Amino acid sequence: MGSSDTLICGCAMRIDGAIGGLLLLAADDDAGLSLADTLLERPAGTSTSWGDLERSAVIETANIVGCAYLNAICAALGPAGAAGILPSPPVFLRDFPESVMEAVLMEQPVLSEIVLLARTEFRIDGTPVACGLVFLPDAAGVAALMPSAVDPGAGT
Amino acid sequence: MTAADLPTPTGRPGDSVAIGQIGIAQGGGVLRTFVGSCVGLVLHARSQQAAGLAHVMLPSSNGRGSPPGKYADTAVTETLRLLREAVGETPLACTAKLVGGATMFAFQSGIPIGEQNVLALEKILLDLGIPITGRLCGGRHGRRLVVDVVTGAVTVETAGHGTETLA
Repeated sequence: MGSSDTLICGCAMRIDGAIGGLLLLAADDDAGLSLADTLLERPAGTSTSWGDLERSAVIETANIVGCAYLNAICAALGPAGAAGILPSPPVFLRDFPESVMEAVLMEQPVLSEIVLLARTEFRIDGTPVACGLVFLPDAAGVAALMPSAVDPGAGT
Repeated sequence: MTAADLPTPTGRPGDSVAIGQIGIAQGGGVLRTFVGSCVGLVLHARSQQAAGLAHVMLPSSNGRGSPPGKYADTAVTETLRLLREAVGETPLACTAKLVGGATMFAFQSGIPIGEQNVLALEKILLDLGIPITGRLCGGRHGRRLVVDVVTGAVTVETAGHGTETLA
């Protein structure tokens, strides 16, 4: 997720409900600005810095993509997902990739030594988009999604 | 990922120190790491030109203690032990610097874990009589820190906010 020499941009959302955890939509700076151009229906390369409009576009993208992703997980959980999943409003960030991933991981080790990270990549018309979605469920979420991770005797 | 999956600590000059790990070097080179909510604990022994860098994630081990660099209470004692091991029998007089402890996500509530890490380390260092000669903590951004092993100077780059040096 980016190199140490460059900053990445993204949005983080805290997740509560049937599954808790954290969702992060992240991209390198150029890809993030391109994403903003796409959403704002502007020619690629129009956005060159992070103003309020560009940040708002990425936050809205995170809201749409994140909620769709969580709705799919909720549906896949069946009855266990009946309580629904409630995401917080996305928080925009622009930081070192290592610091972002460390902070994402920090959400879990307070309670558990087990971390489940799910990364999703996107394509538009078959073309890869330099943007990733990282989902980090909390301990209860790990148990719901991967029972065998917390109880080797359980089915997968 | 479990603690057992994390890389083992190394002591080679110039090494990057990974999450929850401790790096030790003497006589030259640098130690480096990135921190967000975690805290980079730097212990420097000027007369032996030796430095230790621990990447501390949590304020208390609560009896777990492995890897020792992960927790404030075990990180300080283990970094001191490794420094003593590196310099041999000579008496060790250390100073400390703290970097990190940011609140990266605005939705974090209560006393943020980064602040808890800083408070825990400050108390332990005070109890051990190790003076804190520099700190750059809090805020909302991650930091890249590079420790000069000989001088103990710590260069800190805060994401999007420039670079400063803790001499």
